Amino acid sequence: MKALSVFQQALLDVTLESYSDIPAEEDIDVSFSPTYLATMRKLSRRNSYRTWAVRILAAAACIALIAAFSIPALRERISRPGSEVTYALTLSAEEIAAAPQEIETPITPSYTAEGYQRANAGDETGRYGISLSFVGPAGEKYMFSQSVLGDYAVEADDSDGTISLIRMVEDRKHQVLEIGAYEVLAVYPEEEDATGPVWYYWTDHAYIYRIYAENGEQFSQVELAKIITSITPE
Amino acid sequence: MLAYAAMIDDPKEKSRFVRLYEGYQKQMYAVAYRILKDQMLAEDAVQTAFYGIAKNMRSVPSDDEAQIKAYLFTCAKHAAFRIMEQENRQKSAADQLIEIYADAPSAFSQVEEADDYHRLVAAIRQLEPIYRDVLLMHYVYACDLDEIAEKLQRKKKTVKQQITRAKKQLLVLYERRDCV
Repeated sequence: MKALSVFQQALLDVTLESYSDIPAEEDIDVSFSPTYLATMRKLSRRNSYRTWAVRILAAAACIALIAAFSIPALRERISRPGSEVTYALTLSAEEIAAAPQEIETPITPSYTAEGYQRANAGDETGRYGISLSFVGPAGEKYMFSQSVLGDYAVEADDSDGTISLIRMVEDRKHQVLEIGAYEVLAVYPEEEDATGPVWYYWTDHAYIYRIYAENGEQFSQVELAKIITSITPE
Repeated sequence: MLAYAAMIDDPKEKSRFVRLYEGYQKQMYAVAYRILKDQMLAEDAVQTAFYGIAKNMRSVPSDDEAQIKAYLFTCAKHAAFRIMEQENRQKSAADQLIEIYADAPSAFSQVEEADDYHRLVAAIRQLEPIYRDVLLMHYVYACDLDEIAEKLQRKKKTVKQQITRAKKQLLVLYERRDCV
């Protein structure tokens, strides 16, 4: 390190003198807001797997209306489409603040869709998220992710203190599927095309989980239910 | 909000950024809160400061804790001032200062090359804080005008004026016999 001149050292010392009343980092007792923590977590994120996750979320936020499809084996609730922005997977600010700030317990599906196997090459594991890739016999892929809630805190509602995890742009229709104990948000592509990519989101109030399927018809809803209900701590 | 770490291509710089955030965010918050007296606004100031830091990681000193601290705190302070200005819709006092030292001789090199530490400290203590900060960024951290403008949330033209005024004011203060 290059030594400072007398002038430079004097500048530095007087500057530090002006901050002499600031306590040491470990002595400062402050509870940052969930929104701040979520923003700063994104800011300090290291893992490159975020790149695809951010792209997928950005795409998910741009999908259009699609007709609901029948799922005989599952109860379904159709969300009311509207012309305004709607939000899904809403939790209280306290729940999000109390949730793990990092992946404390890796939770992954123990069931792999029939005919698929782990791709491994696409897997990523980091402090704030886990991503697993699976590839089918014809090269089609699906991905499972576990992320911290703070990463998805997109909108705070000051009237009731809730924070939504998923933001849906106007005139979108999505489905909420009740799979096991979870309410799973299914988000469809812009075109009325069942073969386009589909995203599934759900939360256990500790983490948020996603399944991204390249093709909405690559496995059945029964297979989807098996995957979702098979997630367990590693 | 943008994934700021994603703005940093170099993995080492990205890792360094994370260490800065984890090591100093509370203190930077305290600096901002001291000015803004509001948690939300202080958090905004810290985020704004880190945004600027992420964009110019190469300007952040890497070895000396004192230099790192002064750099980060100065960024947080000026982010807070900017928010305060926006909240109060007032121009900062520094921008309104009359250039009372306009006619001072431009012999700043005698200050730059001075070896009387205590006399320098005494003169710098009397300098307007905004002028001290622009000199700090310019002389200690070797930031150019664009970088200083980004860090201190000022226009480039304003920064240029402030550096000129700062040098003139400090020269006069240093030359005054009663400043020690």
